[in-house]
Amino acid sequence: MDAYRTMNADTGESPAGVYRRYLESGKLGFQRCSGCGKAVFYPRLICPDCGGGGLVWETNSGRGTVYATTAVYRRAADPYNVVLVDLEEGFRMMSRIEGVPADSVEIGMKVAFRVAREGAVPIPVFVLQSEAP
Amino acid sequence: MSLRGKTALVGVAESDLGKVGPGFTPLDLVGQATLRALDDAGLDKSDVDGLFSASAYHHMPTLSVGEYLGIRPRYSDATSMGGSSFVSHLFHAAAAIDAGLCEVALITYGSTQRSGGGSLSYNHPGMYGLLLIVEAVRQLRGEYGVRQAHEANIALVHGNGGVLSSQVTAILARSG
Repeated sequence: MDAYRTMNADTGESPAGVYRRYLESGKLGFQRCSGCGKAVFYPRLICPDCGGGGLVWETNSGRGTVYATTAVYRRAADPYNVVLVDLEEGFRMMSRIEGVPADSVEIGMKVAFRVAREGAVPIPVFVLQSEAP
Repeated sequence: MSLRGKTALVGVAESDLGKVGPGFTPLDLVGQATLRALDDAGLDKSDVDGLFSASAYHHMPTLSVGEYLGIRPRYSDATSMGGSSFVSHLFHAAAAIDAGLCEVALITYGSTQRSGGGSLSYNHPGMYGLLLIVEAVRQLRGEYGVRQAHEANIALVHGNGGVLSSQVTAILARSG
């Protein structure tokens, strides 16, 4: 059994804390409502769909599709990219695609999750599935 | 025309109080209190069509709270006037219900100010300003052990009171 499954806010751990711990172990955690079955992201204490309080942690395949993309241009620096990714498990999250020029990312691209590090902080990013190991 | 007797408080609840664990957000506490208040009222989240909130953390709190809770209200109000915001929300909600703008109003607030450092993280110069000065002086003296700021030489203390009524900044430095 997935050890993380037993963790939730009732045990005194915050949704953000559990999410961070998943990232530390290289996984993308999300919640599923035990009442209505909907996938929930970002992590929280109440189901935004049915209002139930029984959100159970799961990890996912990390496979998704780019739903929306934009390139943000900065002075004297390469643009960076911001995307919304639809995960196979049924939730949408904001992230960025790495390994591709910011303005080359397209809606519908198949992408895979991985953890990047900014200092000690684990950051959820995506790469093209064709370039994922 | 009076609002007296036209609406009723049908459920109330508090989130966990005092210090909460690391990572809990003001919105988590909003979620917790909302679950409990709906339970107290015997209502479902889908019954809520009016949303009222103020926040020290979210600039447009009815948007953040609406997203967190998954509520798309017919009517919302984010009037912010400090601690009396929620009294005004009660009046506004009663008026909105009376006017038919909504039927079930949720008035909600969450803060992790104490867990985030209490008066050390955010302060009011009128009531607690001296605490910030004490904190700054002890930091400059290097007296704080585990929460001692590294190489503290200059401290800036700022208090933000009522808008345009009390803005105070002091700069303290080590001598020698």
